[in-house]
Amino acid sequence: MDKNKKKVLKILTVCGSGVVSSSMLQVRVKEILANHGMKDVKIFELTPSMIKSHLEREPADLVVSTTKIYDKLDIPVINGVPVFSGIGEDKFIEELVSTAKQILQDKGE
Amino acid sequence: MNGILESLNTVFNTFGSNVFVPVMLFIIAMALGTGVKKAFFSAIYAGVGLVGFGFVINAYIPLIVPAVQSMVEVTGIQLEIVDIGWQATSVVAYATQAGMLFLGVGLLFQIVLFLVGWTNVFQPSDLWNNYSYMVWGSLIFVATGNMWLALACMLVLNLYSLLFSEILQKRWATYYGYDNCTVIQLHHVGAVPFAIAANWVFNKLGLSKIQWSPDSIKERLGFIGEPVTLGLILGLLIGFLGNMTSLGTLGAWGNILNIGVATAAVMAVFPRIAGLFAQAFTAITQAARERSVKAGSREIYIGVNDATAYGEPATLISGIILIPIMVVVATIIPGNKVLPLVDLIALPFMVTALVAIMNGNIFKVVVSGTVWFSLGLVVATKFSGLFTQVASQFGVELPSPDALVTSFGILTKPIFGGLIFPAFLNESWLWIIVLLVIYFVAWAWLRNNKEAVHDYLERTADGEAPVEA
Repeated sequence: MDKNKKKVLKILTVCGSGVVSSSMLQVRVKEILANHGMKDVKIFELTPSMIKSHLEREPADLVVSTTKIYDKLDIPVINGVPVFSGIGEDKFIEELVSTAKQILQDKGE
Repeated sequence: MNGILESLNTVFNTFGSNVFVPVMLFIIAMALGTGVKKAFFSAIYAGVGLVGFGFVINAYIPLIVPAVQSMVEVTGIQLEIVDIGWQATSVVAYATQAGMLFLGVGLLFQIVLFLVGWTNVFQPSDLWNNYSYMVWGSLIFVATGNMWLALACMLVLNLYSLLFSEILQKRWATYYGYDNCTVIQLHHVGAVPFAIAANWVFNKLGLSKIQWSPDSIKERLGFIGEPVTLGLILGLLIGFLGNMTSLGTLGAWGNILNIGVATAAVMAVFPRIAGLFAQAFTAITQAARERSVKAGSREIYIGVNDATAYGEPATLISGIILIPIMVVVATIIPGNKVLPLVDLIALPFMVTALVAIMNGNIFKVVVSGTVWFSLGLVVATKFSGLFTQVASQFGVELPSPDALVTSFGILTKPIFGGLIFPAFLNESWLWIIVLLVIYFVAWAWLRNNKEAVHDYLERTADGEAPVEA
């Protein structure tokens, strides 16, 4: 039980309003990770200004954002625009999957 | 063809939008080849969003509308039209017959325009924002009962917004740093001609030299940009003004505080519902893009959601500075009766075209934004009666027959709403023909001079360097 709990990936999807893009992004991120065997994913949809206070309440592993994040964060930030533009989408998927795998690996240790 | 529209209409009225919208989305998703599972989830999220939106708006309106009405009565401030926000407007728009029609036809139209090379902007990647066309179309339909006219209006608005987007695309992509991406939303690109003209005037006046630094302003004003704080402040303000004559009573303070908390709640909850609704569009958006966009030799721009621009310091700060300005200005503009409310929080989105063209000069953006949105308020005032009719037909329950609602973000459009839309509303064929002629001439001109236009915008964004010493 405890071991399982550790392995949940906590991801923040971020867009300007915390509404439309972050919500669409959330669907895609879940789908991509599930396709690569990572199904224990918990996602929160936020605006950029909500990230810091959210992290104080609840730590997360990774940020995927369609806007630029100007705050300095301790967790990796991946640019989610390719999900919408399609430009560099393969690279995005690669980056997301490898980062997520790395995080899970670090957690497992 | 009229027969098809009529039978669609009958089916629509029988099942209602909560059923009809999901079914339409399911069909479109299947047609684009998303597979049954994704199509099913698209459909169910649309239904959930529509129903959920009804719950929230119908809890809030009976509280806020009387509060605003009593504010008008007590203070004499003639701002009786309540701004219910873009989220509510989007859901209303998708739930109309015009919206349903455009969901399919608009998508097809935009894909074809891109594939045949009429435009280099791929718009379906921002499918969600098509509600901005649907709003105007649904107003035409409610006023005239003529769906063809509504469709024609939506398509012409679409052509014009693509034209403006093609002018803006390079500047926007450069400023925000998203290669080959641009904004295409009707509610943003309408500002492009105005922004270019305003920037020309500013540069002539030498205003490019005025540079405000974003950071200090952000620290002082940042709290206004938080949805719940802004909601609370505005709610308390409205409540206070409405109860000014009875401040000695406990009941008055109960009312003031309740309006404050409820407005904060709406600012926090509306986005969640809109988020559920937006999930319905993920699969369709992706499928449309994957099927249409192939990497090729021609230069293309992908339409992206306006949220990609939010958070950029100059954009966020100009928007936040405009929040209190627009509340004050709304009270003094002749001809305005709109009380900007829920959409104030969207101002940092609404300035994106101005910001790009003026290269993030906050002073320029704030001055031009004040003028532009003020003009828009007059337009929104004019059509609030029609919009209220549309909203009430599709689920928004109003506490009294004379209550009026609008959206500050979506209906305040001087060019699209003030110059193009009325041609269709008044069924003025001459006007429509003039609009089409202007469009085709402008389109052809832009086709031959695009590089020059883009160069001009790059050169003048920060104030034109003197040509001769």
